[in-house]
Amino acid sequence: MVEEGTKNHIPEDMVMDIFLKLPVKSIIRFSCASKFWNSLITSPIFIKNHLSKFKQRKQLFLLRTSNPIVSYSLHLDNNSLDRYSQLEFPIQNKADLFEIYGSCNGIVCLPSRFMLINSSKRIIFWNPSIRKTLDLPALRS
Amino acid sequence: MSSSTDSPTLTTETTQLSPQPDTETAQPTKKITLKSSDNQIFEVEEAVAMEFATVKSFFEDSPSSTDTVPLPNVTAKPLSQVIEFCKEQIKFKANPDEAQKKKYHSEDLLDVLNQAVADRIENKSVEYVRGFFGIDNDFTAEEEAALRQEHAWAYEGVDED
Repeated sequence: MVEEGTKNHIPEDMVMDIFLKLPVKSIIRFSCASKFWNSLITSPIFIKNHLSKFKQRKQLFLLRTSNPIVSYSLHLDNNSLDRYSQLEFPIQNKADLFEIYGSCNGIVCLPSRFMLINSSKRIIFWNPSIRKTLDLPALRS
Repeated sequence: MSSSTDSPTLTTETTQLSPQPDTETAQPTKKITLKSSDNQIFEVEEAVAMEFATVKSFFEDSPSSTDTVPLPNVTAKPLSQVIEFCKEQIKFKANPDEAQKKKYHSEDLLDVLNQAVADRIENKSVEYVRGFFGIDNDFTAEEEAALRQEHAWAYEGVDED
């Protein structure tokens, strides 16, 4: 903190608490503000705390619909299951090739509905909040 | 859920730093003089003054000092409110039953402030928050461009500054 000198300085733990109240989109945007902020935001402890705060505050359902175009959307846990947001499938034009297997801590596991040429299924992990996916290595039957 | 208490807060820090309040009320209490940025003088009990991290570190650096502690970041009005708040804090700590009732008293205040800041910056640009928090961008132009490129969607739909 000393290096900040007389600058209008907000303590690190307070910045953390403010970040914990922001949605993921804002936090990701602010991660390019400075190297220090980037390290705060991408630290495992912050990610863990942010996840648990939002799990307490808001539970969301992921819905896959096909009529006939497949789309994914998030819905609130209320009586009418109001739509919270429409998701863009991370792999363009491939939404219909995958189905939801399960989810944990906001990460969704999606196997491909059909076998690939090597008779294995493609399996991806999708984090809709940060719009990133990870391909699992192919399973051999 | 224990997770909500895991996150570090300013409040827990001040609680750890603060001295135990004197149980013997007869003991004479040392007074400390604080000066706000607009040169108002406040004389407060030592225990109250030590609730301020700035004041505490001032006396850690020069333990025998009898000088007035300058507080260049705060004007008289908010300082007087914070002093009142610290007095209440100490009363609560000295009286556990009362403290139990008001357990979340201070967390509430900080929570409200943090939420107000979060609401204000949620849809703002990176440039706005840099100015708001007074932080310098130490990324090179290339590094910043790469980060923006990686999450281009997060920079869409941002309010005008």
